[in-house]
Amino acid sequence: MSQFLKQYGPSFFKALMLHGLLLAALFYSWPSVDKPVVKPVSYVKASLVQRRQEPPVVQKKEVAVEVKKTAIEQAALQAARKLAAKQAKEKLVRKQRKDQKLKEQKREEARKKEQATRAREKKAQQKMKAETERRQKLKDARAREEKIKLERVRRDAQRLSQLTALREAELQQVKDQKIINKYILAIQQQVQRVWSRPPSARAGMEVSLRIDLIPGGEVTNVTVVDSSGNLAFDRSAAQAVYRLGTLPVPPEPGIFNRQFRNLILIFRPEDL
Amino acid sequence: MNVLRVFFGMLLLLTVMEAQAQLRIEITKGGDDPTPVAVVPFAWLGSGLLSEDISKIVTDNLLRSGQFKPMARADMLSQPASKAEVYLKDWRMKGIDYLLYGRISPVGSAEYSISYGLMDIRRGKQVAAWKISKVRDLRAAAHHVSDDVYEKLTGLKGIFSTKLMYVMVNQRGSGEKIYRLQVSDADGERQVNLLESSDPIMSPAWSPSGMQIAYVSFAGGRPGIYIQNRRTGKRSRITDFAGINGAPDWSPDGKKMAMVLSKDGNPEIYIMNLKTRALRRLTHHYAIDTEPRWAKDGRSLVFTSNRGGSPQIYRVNVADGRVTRLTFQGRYNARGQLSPDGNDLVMVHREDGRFKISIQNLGQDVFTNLTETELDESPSFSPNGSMVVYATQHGNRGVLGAVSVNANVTYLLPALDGEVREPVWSPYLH
Repeated sequence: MSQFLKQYGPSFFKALMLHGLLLAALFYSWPSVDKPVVKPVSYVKASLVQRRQEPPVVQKKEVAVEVKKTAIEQAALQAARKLAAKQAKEKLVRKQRKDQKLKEQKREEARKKEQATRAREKKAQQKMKAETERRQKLKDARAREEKIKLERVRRDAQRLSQLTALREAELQQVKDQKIINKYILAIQQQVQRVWSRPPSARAGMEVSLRIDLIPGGEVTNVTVVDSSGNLAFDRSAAQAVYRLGTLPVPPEPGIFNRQFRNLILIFRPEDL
Repeated sequence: MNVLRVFFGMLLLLTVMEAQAQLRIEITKGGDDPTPVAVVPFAWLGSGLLSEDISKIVTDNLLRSGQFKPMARADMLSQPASKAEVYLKDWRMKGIDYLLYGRISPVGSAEYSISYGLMDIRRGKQVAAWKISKVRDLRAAAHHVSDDVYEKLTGLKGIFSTKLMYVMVNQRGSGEKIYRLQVSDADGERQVNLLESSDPIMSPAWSPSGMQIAYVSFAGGRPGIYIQNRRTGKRSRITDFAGINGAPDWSPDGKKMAMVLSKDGNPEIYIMNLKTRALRRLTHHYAIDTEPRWAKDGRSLVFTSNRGGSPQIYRVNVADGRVTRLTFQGRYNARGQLSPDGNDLVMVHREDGRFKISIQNLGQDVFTNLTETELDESPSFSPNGSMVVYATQHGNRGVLGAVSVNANVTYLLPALDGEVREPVWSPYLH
């Protein structure tokens, strides 16, 4: 309804006005249209009133009187007619006024009624709107809750998968680390066995070598990355690696490439 | 929850980082096996025969250092005399780390020039190349070559050109003893008499430059401390006190001499200003204080004293005479000497009735026996601190032994026809 009003309000009212106008025009033009019809009615009435007053006059004077009587009668008739017309007119006016009043009353009533209807409609509309809004809100809230719940589930699932991945990675790392540790120990033992430290070596000296290896552990290059400052000491460390020629390395290509392809060996005697 | 997430995030990050970090492996010990080397006989470009086999002297020197394992000459597949002639594979096959080659060229009739080079066989690179000219003494040249190689490979100055001084006692058929003060090469060769006497000679000492020596002689029946010029043989008596005049030891700056005198009652440590001959008494104790030896920095001396009830080694501060005890191992520690770096103390240590040479690390208080023989005495550090020479009994005779401070190698010097006592290693000589 409101929708209708909103959409067609102006045109509706225009139409309403037009209809009203037409109706009003119809009412106003009614007397002129009806005049001929009304006249005979009042004429009939008037003649009835005249006849009741005049009969003795007409009876006494025959022709003259009759003519006079006719003239008088005519004048009287005319006056009666005038009076009747006036009365009819007054009556008509009264009727018209009454009609007008009635019409106005009716219109007022209609207006009031329409107002009430409109108010009712508006109220209904408002109520409906509020209801719609309330429903919408509820729906929205529910949707939001649903979304949050979904999000939580998704996040939980994600976290779980992350944790699982982490745990798996950790597990793999622990496994890898075990392998790595095994080979670190083997490298330590082998290098320590063949390291001949010069008599100038002292506890506290430290040289770091970078060892380049190829799969299988063959030494391809030895570089001093951090010298001890004692060239003989540095050389003895490098020589130990060269003496071995091949270092024990894990056969797993992944671990080898990640951890063993380039090694740093730190020679730091503690027992001197 | 957030904290947990951050924690896991960091864990993941660390894991990633760890995976990318280079593996670092620490090597904290060493087998310290001698380094395998090959000393190829030097090519002689002249005619005739040379008086000395240089590469043999070098080989023996390197072997005695305890740091090297020279290859037997017979095992060599080739004898390269230049870098270009070194066929690496041959030597790698034999497990050689370094190779020394050289050439000797005659210069005129009595001089030589020697060029030599050191190859790193494992890396196939030349480590160094040298040339010495105007050589007259081939034996000295061989020690020089040994020093070069040793220093290059060990980081320590070589001691092959240094000398040993000792007292040798010979008994004549008549029962009369002859005392000789002798100096030899570090390998025991080429002994030279500095002094010969029928009176006892004791406690020889080197001046810091090696130009002069000091000793105690009983010439004339009474002990006295003498200083003698090694070249000219000119000598002078610097003490003539009543009682003991003994154990002279030059201060590192050469200006003072520590000694033991009993002129004030019992043996005490004194310091003499060699220029003014002024004496300063350093110890004051009723017990015996003897055998003073300077620390390399000249700020303290170690000495032997029985003030604690048994002979032990103490340190006395030169500036204020403050005394601290250094040895606590066993009931007998004597003849102490500090290593050139001041970190170690070498001494005669009695254990189960046997006298051995022992070394004590002063910082870590680690005590190690260097020898396991019975009557070892008079230890003396080589100037680079890598070896200790001492006197010992071998076949009922006093001979010289040497031991590396890591106890890796012990050897006896060539037996001389007499009883050898009180060896002292010279400083570096120029």
